[in-house]
Amino acid sequence: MADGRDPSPFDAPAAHGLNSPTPQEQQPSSVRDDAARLSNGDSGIANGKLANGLAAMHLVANGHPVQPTSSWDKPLPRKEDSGTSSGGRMSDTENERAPLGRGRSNGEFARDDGRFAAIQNGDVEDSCGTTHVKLEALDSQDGASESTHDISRSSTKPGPEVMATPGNGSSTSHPVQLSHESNLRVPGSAHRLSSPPAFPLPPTGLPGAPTSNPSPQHSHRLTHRHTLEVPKVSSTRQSREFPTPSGTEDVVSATGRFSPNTPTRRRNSLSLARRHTRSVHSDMHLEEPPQDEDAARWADAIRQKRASKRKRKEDEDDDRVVVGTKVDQNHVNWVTAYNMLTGIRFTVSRTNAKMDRDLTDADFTAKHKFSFDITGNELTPSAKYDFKFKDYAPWVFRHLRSIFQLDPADYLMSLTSKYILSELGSPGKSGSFFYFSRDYKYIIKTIHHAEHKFLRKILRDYYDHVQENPNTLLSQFYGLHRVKIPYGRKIHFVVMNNLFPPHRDIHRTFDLKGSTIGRDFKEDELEHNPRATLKDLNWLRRNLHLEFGPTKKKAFIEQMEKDVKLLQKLKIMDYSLLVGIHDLERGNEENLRDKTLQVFQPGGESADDPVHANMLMRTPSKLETARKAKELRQMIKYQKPIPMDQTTSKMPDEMQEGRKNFYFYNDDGGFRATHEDDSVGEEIYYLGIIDCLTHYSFIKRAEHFFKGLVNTESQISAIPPERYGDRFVRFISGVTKTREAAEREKIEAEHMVDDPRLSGVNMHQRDATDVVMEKAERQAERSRQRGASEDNVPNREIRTVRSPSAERGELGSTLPVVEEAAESASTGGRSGRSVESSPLPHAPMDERDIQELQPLPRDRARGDSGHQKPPPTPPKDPNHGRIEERPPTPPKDGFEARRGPPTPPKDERERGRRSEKELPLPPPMESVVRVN
Amino acid sequence: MGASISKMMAKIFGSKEMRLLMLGLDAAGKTTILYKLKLDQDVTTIPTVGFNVETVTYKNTKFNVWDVGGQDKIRPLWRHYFSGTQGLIFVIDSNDRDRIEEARTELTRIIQDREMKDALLLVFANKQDIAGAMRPKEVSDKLHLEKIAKDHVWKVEPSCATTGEGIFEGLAWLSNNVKVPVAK
Repeated sequence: MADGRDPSPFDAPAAHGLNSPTPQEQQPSSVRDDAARLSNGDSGIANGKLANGLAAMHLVANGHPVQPTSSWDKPLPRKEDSGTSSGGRMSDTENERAPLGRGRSNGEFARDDGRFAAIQNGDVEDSCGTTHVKLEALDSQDGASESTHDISRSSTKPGPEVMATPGNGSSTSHPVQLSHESNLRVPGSAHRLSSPPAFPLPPTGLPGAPTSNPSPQHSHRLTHRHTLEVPKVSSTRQSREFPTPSGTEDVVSATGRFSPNTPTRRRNSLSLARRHTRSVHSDMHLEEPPQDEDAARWADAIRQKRASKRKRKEDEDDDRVVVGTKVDQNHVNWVTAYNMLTGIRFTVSRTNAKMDRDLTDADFTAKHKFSFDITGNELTPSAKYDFKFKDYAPWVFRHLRSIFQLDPADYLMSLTSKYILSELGSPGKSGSFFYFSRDYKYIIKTIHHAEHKFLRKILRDYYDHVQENPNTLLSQFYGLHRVKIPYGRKIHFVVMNNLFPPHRDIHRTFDLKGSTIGRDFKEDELEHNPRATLKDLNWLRRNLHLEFGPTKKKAFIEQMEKDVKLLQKLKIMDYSLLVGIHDLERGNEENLRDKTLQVFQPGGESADDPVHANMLMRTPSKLETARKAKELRQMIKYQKPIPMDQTTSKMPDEMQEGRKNFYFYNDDGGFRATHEDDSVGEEIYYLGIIDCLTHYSFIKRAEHFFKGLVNTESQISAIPPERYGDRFVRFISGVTKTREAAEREKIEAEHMVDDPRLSGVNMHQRDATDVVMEKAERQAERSRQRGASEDNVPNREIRTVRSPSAERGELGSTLPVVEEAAESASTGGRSGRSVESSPLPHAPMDERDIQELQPLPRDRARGDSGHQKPPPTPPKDPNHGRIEERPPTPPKDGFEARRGPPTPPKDERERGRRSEKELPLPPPMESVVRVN
Repeated sequence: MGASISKMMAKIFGSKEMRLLMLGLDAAGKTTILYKLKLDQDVTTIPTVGFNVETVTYKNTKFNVWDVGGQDKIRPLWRHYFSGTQGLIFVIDSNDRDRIEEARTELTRIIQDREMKDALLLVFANKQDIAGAMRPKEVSDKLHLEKIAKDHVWKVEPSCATTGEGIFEGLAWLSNNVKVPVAK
């Protein structure tokens, strides 16, 4: 059979115009074998080519020396040959089902060989002239080249193009006939067509095909007309986003398969061929609809099939994302995310593959630039899109990651294995954009150019600090990169830790800075946005504390002081302590993460974009920021939020590995509250110092100046780093005490004289409350100065019932009883925040007043969260939250507040208040977002 | 005509280029092979988390070889290197009979990927210097190459990374079998 078959495999390829295929084709194949050292058949086993035995024979015929080169070649039994070949023959003989066996591949290869040999002649010749590395290799190569020469001379030298058009007149008929004689030929080509991906697709779409072909594979082969499918295949392939540019395809196309690039000309020729075929073999297929339709239908069917398959696969692959919107291929930000991740994967892989070494000075300033494109180059793998990527200080960050005990493989995998990230839509304070890694462990945050520069500047200090204090509370930076798309802007971004755990509900989130001005989140908005990040005043109002027993407190404060010291030294400010509180009593029962961590995207039109409205008010850098934020927003404009519980993805309930070796992240990923006696408490805190890239620069100075005009200097957040740090430490230390201590103090206070002055004195002794109270008073005073309106005063009579939030009374209204009873947490501070409404007309609160209230706070705080939850969570939540987020406060104000020419005093005050908030309201996700 | 064009191309560019991807289970010897190729030295390596890439010119062909780490955790990343690959070098530890199945699974997954369908497949049956190593034939049988690689041009090459045996032969085979891009 082998003999009879031999010519046929070659014929198909021969269609390209080689009239006497046999000699030419065979020789090349032998040539290749030689080169491959397969000639003797023992050393290696090549693609079953040996199977047909032809190769070997030809080799001999050529007189090529068989040179076993390596010792282990010899021992190999020649049997292999015969075995394989017989196998091949077997399959061949039977072969109506040719595509299955080696026989098929044989044919293919043989053909390929012929073609390649012809095409490669030039190369081979060249290679002859060059020196070869190894002698033996040289031999074989020579032999090969010689033979190729022969071929090239003798052959008609079919150019690639020529070969590529199987439709050439007479040649076309060849394949057809041959195919009939022995199916082998066609199968070869058919097989090509339907190479792996296409194979599984049953040709059901084709009316005629199924009947004649029991199996899809056969279909191609048996009915020659399946060449017709070619167009379909090609179209499918075209549909794929990423056609392989490899040159090989062109060659392949010569076999009659259409490469995606195949010009229409080729197609025409193909269709010609097809018609030809038909006429020759006219069979039932004649009645088929015109090829194009046919092809289209097929293409559709195939595409669908693939799509569904892909989808299924994805599902299996748990492409789940823990929080937020999956940024997948349909997402508008897909390209950016893709580029970021490709870049990260590449740069991290590149650095981590090398042997570790010590850092040098140069490492801190190092930056490497790579450009990615679809073809890839010597340095970079191919990527779907063209972009440039810059990697900063890769070695430093590699070391940082190892100090933070990230497993490189884990890091790579959770960040970049699949191109899915959760995205949190709202550009943060600085116009930053957040992405979460799929597993919620990492955050990618875009940063401003200035921040990036600053980070690089302080990198060494940061590194040294981290090295000495691996338990630092500061943000952990894992990488700093820049991505740029052609004609696009440069986006800098950092990769860092996510403080919050994927496996625990965070019941309340606070962002504490130690300043009180503008550090309030309107409580009545909490209803709509229960997961909002609350601020200092909300914290005080709730009379919350970081309940750490002596041991933990000591460790915590010490570490914080060290960290702040560094920040002061680096002239950094505006950082805050992010505190996420998980109440163990409530546990994960409410499933807050799934329910409320829906993705929030600023939807809607950019028209109402506050940033835009106030652009002119801003300094250039702000303008930039605003523009960026706006762009980003626009990019994600169409994204719909998906509540977690409506997606298949659920948050894990168990702690995944990681982060366990750090003091402050040791209790289930966080830091658990303890009592006086260091026994464990009921809450777990997830905390860290975030936003530590704001340099006290001119901008801040300006802010300070303006705010200082209206507010007590020490209470605004934009004060020089030294004082900022001191205040921060004082505040945080002040609120760090065990529950017992807090209660004791409260009692003590109750015994104190009513005289406010006295109480003031006492306060100095108790440094904890001291800070807090001082602040509260100040705030109260300020609001008084402002001539706070008395709108809310009516409630005052209820004072006795005043909630713990009375403290906030200074800024807010007193609580109406009803509200209190209703427990709506929001009752509190809203008015303080809201425009001009106002606070207590009275002098600073008496110590006593406050103390009175103390008992309530805790309960209340608890109650708060408890209550709040129900209203907000309802299904409609997503939209609700979304809507709320922007509009609530007149966005304009918020932004304007940031900075601007001093306008009417009133405004300024307003400004001061709000200074901390850029976005009128944090998005629902904020709690999560603000991680840094 | 094709011949003349490629001849021309060859003259202009002097050589052809080939992008190779080297994969395989961890500790198969990929990185060692790479640096043997590049430096002709037997270097000490660490488990590769990530990749090494080197360009080696041999027989007038410029090989751009990507050696990607094979720890099972990061194998899913392999696919990101598929695109544009003209030749896959799959390295097998010929002494690791326990994991040959695993290797087969991985190999199957790779070569059935759409991006790899045109790639040549060269299997290095590595570590032949150790007694009792599987012969190429055994390797190809155990990998079910005839079945899983039926759509590919493949070859099993016995090799020993530390001595360099078989490695250049493998490259030569790739070089001779690579399809030259058609002139535009």
